Amino acid sequence: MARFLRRRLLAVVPLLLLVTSMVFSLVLLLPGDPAVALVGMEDASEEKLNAIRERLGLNRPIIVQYGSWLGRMARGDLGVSLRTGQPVTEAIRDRAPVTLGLALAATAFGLLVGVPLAVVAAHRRGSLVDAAASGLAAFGVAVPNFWLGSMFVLVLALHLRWLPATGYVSPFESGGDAFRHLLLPTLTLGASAVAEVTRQLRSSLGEVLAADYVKTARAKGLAEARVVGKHAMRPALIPVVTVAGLTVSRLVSNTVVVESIFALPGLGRLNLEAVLTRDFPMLQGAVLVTVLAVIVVNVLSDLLYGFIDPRIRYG
Amino acid sequence: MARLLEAAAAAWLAALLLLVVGSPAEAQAPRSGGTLRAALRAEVSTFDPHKGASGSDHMYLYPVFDTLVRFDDKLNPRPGLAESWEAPDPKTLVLKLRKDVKFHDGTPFNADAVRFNLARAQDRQISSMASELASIEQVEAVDPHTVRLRLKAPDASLILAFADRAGMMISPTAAQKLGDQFGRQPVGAGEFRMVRWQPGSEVRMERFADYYEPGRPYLDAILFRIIPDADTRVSALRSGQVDFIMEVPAQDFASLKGERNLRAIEGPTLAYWRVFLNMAKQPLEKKAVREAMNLALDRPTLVRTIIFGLGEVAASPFPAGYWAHNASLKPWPHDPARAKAKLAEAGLPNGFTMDMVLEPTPEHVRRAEAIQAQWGAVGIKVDLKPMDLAKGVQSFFRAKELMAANYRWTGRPDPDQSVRGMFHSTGFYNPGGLKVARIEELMDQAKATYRLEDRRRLYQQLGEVIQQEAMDTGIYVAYSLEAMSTGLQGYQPNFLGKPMFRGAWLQGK
Repeated sequence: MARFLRRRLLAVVPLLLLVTSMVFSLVLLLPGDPAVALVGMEDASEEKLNAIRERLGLNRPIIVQYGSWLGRMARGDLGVSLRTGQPVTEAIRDRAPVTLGLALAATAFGLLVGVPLAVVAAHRRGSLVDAAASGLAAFGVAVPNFWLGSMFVLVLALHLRWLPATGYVSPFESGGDAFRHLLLPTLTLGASAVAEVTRQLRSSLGEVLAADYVKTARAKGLAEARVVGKHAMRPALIPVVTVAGLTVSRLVSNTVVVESIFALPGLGRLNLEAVLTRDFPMLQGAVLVTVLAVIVVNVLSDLLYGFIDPRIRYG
Repeated sequence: MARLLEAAAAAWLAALLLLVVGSPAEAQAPRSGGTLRAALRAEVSTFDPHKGASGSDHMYLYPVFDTLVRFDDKLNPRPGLAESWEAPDPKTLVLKLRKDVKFHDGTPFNADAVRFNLARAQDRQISSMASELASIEQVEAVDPHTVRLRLKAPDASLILAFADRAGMMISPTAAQKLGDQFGRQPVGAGEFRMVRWQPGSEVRMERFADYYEPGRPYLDAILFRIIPDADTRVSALRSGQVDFIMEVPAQDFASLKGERNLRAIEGPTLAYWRVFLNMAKQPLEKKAVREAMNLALDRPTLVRTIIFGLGEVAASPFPAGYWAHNASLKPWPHDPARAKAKLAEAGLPNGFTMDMVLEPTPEHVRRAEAIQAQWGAVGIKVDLKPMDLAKGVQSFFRAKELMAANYRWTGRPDPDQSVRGMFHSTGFYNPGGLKVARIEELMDQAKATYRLEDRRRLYQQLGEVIQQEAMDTGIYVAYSLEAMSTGLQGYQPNFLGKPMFRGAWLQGK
């Protein structure tokens, strides 16, 4: 177990190097330099741009910029934003909790709704409930986030006025307000998670319920709840954990859309804004943290396998 | 029972009386207090007015920094921190300063502060606007409240440049103390102090208690919320989370206008949509070809379909109402037959092919496709090149690789800044560098003239020559579209399309 962890974590280092150097190379491929992006169409005289480039250190060769970035990163300094001058680490510290909270809430929502739905559907294959659950799952997978989000805003926020349409409130400021503000984004982001979990668990649980040992358990006269909950659920959950791991990575990328719709100051929007304004230090930092988060989730889901199914060993 | 009725009737009459007597007074007198919540599209890049270069910073800078010169809703220069100015000779400008002004940190505003600010704004190591002040040779403090500027050459555009970033006064004490950090902890002499900036989320400003105008500002605080997505801004306003939004999508404007608790206002701006041409490229160097391009455009249809009528057909970059506007200058007529004849005259009876840069957003694409169709009808085939702004500016203006670009000229406070950029042979926005001597003469003359009335005449003449030379392929001037709750009073849009909340107040709930 410890060896497995060590190996996985060691593999992260070259991966991060690869990702950051790739982002730096992409910078070379993106036409239009940050100075131009910063001024837009405004007063873009050559001398003005040169002054900006000079100030931002953009006139150094890209490899020198990368080298100095790596050196500073090793010391925990990710540089400052080209656009606002804010330290990148500060921006990430402010914004990561928003995205993290949102992704966790959406995943939790996915599991809390998806698992019971799947259990009922798998248990009553072909029933009306099954059809409804399958239909809902297909809808959840197919419907795009931006549409669903806009509909929620239109109906629940603007029409019925039950929930706020936009914005973020930290749970440390006001728990109730934080919850109300996070609800619509969570529903929007979590819809696809519900769908993925339902589809996956319904099919794997269906298979397991048809297995011989389940028949044996039933023949022994075990209560149905015990059959499903204890004997069938564990092996059926393995593919769900895999999917949940993947879903979290996908949720992280979907936060770009959801954070824009609900004006949440999270990492997704930070990534987007950094790309649009060619704010490279910010982009590097945000990508770095996003990649780290996805890696951590994947390692965690690998570890969960063993926890759920003791037959799985880590070599 | 009867007593109850009587009492009710009396109360009713009293209420009516209050309504009649009370309401007109209430409608006029601004009320102090309250926090204005305004949603803006873009984040402020820095609160250092000299360092910043982004056009979307102004809304955040205006409340914090008072300017030497102010402008009214028509962009006429008005006294600001400088009570008056005069040019004893064309190469000297004397500014008389207000005596009762303090910066937020208590530093007095005086001639030394102006000297410090102008020197900083001219320092190329710090400032991104040094070129705007290039004509200033020396700044002298005549007495604590009088500043004399010695100029290298006459420059009337300085006055309105002082109404923009270059005239925003920062506290010298704070600038020296904070150094690089000033951009995040600004100290100005404006109506509001910046108290909190949460990047990506919001900026909060609070009333500066020692502001020199008694009773101002009316608002206790302004909260700017940063909401990049246009639909989200609209939702925030509709649900009452904010009191003001800018850059309302044109397709939502009519419906917002119809809503009971909202007010949507359109105002003319200097936002001038045009096709920038590289007039050094074949065959755009031919006047007849450019005339054909202008005659082939059906501008009223573009205004109606692309921006839902929320703008006006333009004959020049200066819209009606702006002081340099020329009312006798008529827009190009839509005349495809004459356009074809002009092409034949240029030796291109079958038209020609050109490329055109645009931004890859729905509105830009709609506009460019409509232009493409109108030009296609006379034989000018347009190859659309969607690319994001940074890349487009690079390819078209800098590398000069392409023939045309469909962009918006955002406008500048002084006409000189606009015409020099677009129509001078050295102008950045004239990538082909086409030179028309008469145009440059008029430009220089207007720049050396300080009387607004004389300048107006020169710019009107300039507009006529530009049209005769077919140097401008303008489309329309788009209105600024803003929407607000009915509780927000005293707000006025301006020609720069950059909301300014001076004089705004909130009705009691």
